[in-house]
Amino acid sequence: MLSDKIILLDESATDNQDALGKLANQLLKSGAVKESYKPALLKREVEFPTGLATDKIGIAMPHTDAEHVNYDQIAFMRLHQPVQFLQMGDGEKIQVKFIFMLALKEAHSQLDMLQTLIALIQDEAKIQQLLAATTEDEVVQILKDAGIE
Amino acid sequence: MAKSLMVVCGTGIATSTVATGKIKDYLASVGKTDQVKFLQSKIADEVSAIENDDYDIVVSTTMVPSAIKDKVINGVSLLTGVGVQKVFDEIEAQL
Repeated sequence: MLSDKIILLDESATDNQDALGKLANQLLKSGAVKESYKPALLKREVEFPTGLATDKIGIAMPHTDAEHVNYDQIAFMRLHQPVQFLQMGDGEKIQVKFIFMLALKEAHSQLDMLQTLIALIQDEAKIQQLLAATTEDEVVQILKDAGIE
Repeated sequence: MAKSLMVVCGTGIATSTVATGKIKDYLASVGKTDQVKFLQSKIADEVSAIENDDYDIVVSTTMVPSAIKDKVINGVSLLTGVGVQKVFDEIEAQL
C-alpha cells in the first residue's frame, strides 16, 4: 500500500480541493491511478465528503471508484495549516490535518488495512508520532509499524 | 429469520467495508451474529430500495437524501469512535 512512498509533509493548500489535487497528481505520477482518478475523486468529495473528526484529530479519507485505479496505494499528506472538509455522513464542517488518500483496485477489499487505518486515527500516541515525524521514511515506518502495508 | 442489514457508503469500496466489520465484531460479542444477513453497497444504487423498505436495517457512512433519512442509521461513529455504542444500540433495537 505504501510502495510508492507518496508522503507529503507540511504542505500548504488553499482549500481541500487544492490539497486533494496535489496528492492525486502524485498518485498519477507514480502510476497507481489513471488520468480519470483525480477528476472523479474531486467530484466525489463534493458529493460524498470523506472528513472524519475523531476526538483526537480531523482527518480525511478521500477515495473513488476502483475503475480509476491501477494498483492499491495510500498517499499521505500532513497539512501545514488544517483545511476545511465536510464530515462524512452529517456534512459538518471540520478542520483536517491529515489526508489518507486511498487508491483501491477492488471494492470490499483491504478490510484489515482499512480497519487498521481507522484504529490508527483514534490512537493518540500514533497521531502524535505522525505529527512529529520529520521525514517521509519515518512516516512510512510509523504506518508500517501500525500494520498498514 | 435473519434481518437484512444494508451498509452503504459513497462508493461501496472503503468505509462501508470498515463499518460492516465493526458491526459484525459487535454482534459477535453479544452473540447475535446469526440474526443478521449483511449486505453492502453504494448509496446511489440503493435509494429506491431503501425507500421501498427492501432492507430491515440500513446503516450509512455517507450523507443520504433527506427522503430516506429517517430510515437510515448514521454509522459515521463506527469510523470516528465517537458515540459508537449509540449506533450499536440503534441496530440492536431493530433486531
